[in-house]
Amino acid sequence: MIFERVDDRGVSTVVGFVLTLGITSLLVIGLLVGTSGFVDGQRQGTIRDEMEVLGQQIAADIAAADRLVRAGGDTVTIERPLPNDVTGLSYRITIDGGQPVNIILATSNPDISVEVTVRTVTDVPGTTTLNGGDVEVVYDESDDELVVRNG
Amino acid sequence: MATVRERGQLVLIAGLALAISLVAIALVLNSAIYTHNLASRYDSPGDGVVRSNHDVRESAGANVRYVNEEFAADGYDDIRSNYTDGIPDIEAAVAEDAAIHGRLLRVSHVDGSNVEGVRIVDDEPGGSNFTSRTNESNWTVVKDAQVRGFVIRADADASETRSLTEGTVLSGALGSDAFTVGFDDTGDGSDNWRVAIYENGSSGEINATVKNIDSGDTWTCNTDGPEVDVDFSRGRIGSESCAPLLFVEELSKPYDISFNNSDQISGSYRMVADGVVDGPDVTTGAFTDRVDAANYGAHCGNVSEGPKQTFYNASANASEYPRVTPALYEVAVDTTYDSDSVTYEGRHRIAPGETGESPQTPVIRLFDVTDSSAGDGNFTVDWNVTDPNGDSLTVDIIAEDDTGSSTSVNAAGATGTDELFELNPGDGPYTFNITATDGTNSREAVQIHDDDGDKDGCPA
Repeated sequence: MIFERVDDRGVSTVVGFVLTLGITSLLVIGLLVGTSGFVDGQRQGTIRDEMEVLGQQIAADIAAADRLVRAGGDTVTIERPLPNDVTGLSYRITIDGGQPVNIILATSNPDISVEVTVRTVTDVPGTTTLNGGDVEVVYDESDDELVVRNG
Repeated sequence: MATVRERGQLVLIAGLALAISLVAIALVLNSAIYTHNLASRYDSPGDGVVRSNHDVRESAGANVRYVNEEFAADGYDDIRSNYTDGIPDIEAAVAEDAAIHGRLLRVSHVDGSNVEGVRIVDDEPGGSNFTSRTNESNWTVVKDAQVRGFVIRADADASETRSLTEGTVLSGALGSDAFTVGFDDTGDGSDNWRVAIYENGSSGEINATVKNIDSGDTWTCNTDGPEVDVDFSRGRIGSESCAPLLFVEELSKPYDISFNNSDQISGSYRMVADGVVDGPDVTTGAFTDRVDAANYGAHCGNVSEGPKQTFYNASANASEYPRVTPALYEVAVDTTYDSDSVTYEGRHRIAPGETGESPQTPVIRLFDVTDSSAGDGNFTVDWNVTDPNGDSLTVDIIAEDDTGSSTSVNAAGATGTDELFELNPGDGPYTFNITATDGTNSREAVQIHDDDGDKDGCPA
């Protein structure tokens, strides 16, 4: 009984409330900050991975079209259905011709860019920027070059 | 009570925020799963086309080989028509396989793509040595041409096949009685090779020793016998790879092929050259004229000893070997392929067993010198020349009498009919030379004629 009285005197209801609220708030804020950072990091990593896979698929199509042209193809078209966005974010595809051909996939906010390269015997001309989505690789027989465009 | 509600709101807000975070994590996780799904899909859109094209080329190549072997006795037209008749069967076979995988495939023959050739073969049943029709053991098999599908089958069990060891052959620079195939550059003469084929000791193995005459380098391949195919097209000896044999790919074209010590081997051989014979039952034509001229010095036989048989037999039905028969050198097919992601149309050149680049040298399809009346020095010449890669052609024909006096037609077109050459009567024999050039490559044929009003004898 003596100790209970001492407790009541030392810790007022207000102090107890402030302490409880403060500690809870700290825990919740810490949890939210930690979780949002984790989610953001995972999201960026996933966007990068997905764009890398999409880039490799475009590279595979360009290489396949090149192979088919070299195998005597006069008309070659390879269509590739690709998603319009990556992890809810729209993206751009830039085909930078030359040797090797650079395929750059990029998003804005967050700024993430991925580059995939492929070597071809048939020329891929100039620099072309496409919107994310279906892509096709077409052989232009008159200019003897491979053109990458939105499908 | 108010305090309790505030605490509850805080927990509620915290819970909501956590729930949103969890949903975001779920979305990210979903994207990650989708990404890995995409990455792990079988993904090679051109594979079906490559596989179908390969099937079409192999089937069309087999069709060419079949018609060349089976319909040679009927001449070029029948070979061609039998080949085109086989194309729908090829389409039916490969299109069915494609249809199983949901793809559409069409195969069609390209009109006018046939290039005529000459099949040279000695496949006497039971095997034989490789001497010429006139039993020469050292002779020129192909003159100024290129060949495809060149395969020699050697039989180590046969007593003719020379038994030597590798060292014996090398020390004798391939001249040590072994059967030897010679490839000689007809251009600047700097690309000459020899291939000796012999039994390795008496082990039953067959050896092929390849020598570059110009550098002196030698290589030897061997494999277990007794019957072994030495395949110059694929660089194989029996079931073993023999890369040195692939020198034919880099060989300067056209070239000459000669056999030496051809009585020292038993077996068979076959090849298709880029030349033309006049028909299924005759040995005449610019191709055989060149071979006979290389062996005898004249297209009609040995001038000093009188006419001889040509080095080849003509009739595909007769059991005389070696022989030359009409054949297809190459053809072309078109394929169309449609799948959910790939549209493809392509043209394929079919020349089974061809090594190196395709023929570029003009082909003299017809060179016919007619002497319609004796003693007047007048001859008429017909010719027809084609270029395998479609270049424009220039033809020069020179007719020369025995005194060196000549008359010529220069820069003529690819085809000529009844072109009259007036030469001095009584100054025979007369030599007629045709040279066809596309500006880079040229080919010639020579005939020797008497002013006797017919085509018999030698001079003809």
